[in-house]
Amino acid sequence: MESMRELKGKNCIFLGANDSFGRELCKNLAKVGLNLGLIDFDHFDSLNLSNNLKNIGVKSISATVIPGKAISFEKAVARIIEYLGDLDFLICAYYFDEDISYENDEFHIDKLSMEKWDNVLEKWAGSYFLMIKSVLPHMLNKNKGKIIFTNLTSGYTGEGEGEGQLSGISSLYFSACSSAITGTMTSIAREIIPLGVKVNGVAFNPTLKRDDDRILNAFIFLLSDISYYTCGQIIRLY
Amino acid sequence: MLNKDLKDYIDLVNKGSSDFLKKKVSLVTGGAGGIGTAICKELANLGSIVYICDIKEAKSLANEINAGYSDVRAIPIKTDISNKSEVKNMFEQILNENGGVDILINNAAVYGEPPLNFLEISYENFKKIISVDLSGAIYCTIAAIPHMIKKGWGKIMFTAAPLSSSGIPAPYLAGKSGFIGLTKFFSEKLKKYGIGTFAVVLRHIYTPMIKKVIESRNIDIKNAKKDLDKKSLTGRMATTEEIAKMFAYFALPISNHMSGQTILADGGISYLR
Repeated sequence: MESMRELKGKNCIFLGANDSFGRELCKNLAKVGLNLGLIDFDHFDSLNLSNNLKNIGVKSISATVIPGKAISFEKAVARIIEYLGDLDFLICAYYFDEDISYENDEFHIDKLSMEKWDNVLEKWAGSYFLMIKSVLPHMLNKNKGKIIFTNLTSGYTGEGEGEGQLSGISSLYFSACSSAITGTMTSIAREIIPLGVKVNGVAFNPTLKRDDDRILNAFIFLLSDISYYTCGQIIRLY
Repeated sequence: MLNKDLKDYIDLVNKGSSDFLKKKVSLVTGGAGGIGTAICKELANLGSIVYICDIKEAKSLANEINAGYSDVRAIPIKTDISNKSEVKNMFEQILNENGGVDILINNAAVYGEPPLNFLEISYENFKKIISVDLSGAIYCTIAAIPHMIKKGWGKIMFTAAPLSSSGIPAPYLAGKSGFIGLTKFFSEKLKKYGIGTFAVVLRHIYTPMIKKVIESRNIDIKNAKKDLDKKSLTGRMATTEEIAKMFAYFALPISNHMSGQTILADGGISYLR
């Protein structure tokens, strides 16, 4: 397909490659031919994934960042761009695999935690902010680039939809943070799309299967020029 | 057939009573600001004890409100809601003094000091704004829930902004739009405890904050107000008093059946313009 061919050899920074969602998406994007710079908070898993991707013939490198530390994001981006030679795309797809409980655990009010909220906000919305801040000078220099962020449909519905809804305490943090990310991205999109950098998003139901074809389809659509006129949109996958 | 709350409401209106919220304890964050002040006055007028939470001193506002009644209805409580310890202390104080919070109105917000555009704003400034506009409300809500569960009734409200909105800086919009997901989430989880949640999405309300934003852009205030008035399908921006009446309505038992709603109060701008 033409849209898939046009992505071959393009360079992409991917935040959030360590969890099951990010890992699967990275593997599929590599199959489409994207070169990938993988960024996460823990080096071990992204390094392994990076090595696996190299084995299937794509350029890949990994780097770590520290939540809330702008300088670590800037250094990671500079290192990746130096290795890849250029930058076309940024995908912010951080996710909280370790914290989301799909099992039918009850919502325990006494487990509500202000500290946990701080952690989710900084790791998720904060990292998206710092990631975009770090890549933007490179993209604006060339008046080109595409940024795709992910969040959860629970930001709109307050819950996952369909079978196996999020029922745990963490869904509070994800609902609020997803909405906050939508607000942030909408505002950022308005500001930087006229400067040549496109911003769109994909919101997915947290219970979506990681190998659901619609995930890759949504990303191919938004990364390719088919979506040239699509600005500031969020594709919702329920 | 009318439900009991609605019947009670109509009975009280017919009797001429305005003490619908007598014995209820309200907490209004950002209570000394434009919309907050109006909400505090409205809730006090309905008989509630109102804690005016603000980072600014609110003694004079409390005195002004109390001057109109024979009993104490307004209590200033100076708190920085972005500080978790201060929030915990505030709820502890309300619990000790008046048995806890029945009605929480998460209204506090800061717009932030320029530069606010994404290309120039620092992460520290982004964090500072969001820590009040979003985290502050989450801290207060987490602290209020046990009070309400104990009472078997409660109302939690948020002043919100649309998920997509033109020209609003990222940190402010991030904070204010975060409440949309939260309102639905809490509605679902808290309904069994008799707690209702609402988000009121506000746009084009004539507040001191709007005036400050206009002035920061070096635009003539009268012309800017006229332009904003024209944008609204109602022909003018809403006043803080009009908005306060909405919040008061959702605080009343009459609205017990409306939980989880996000209500637009924007003069039709978001969807009809």
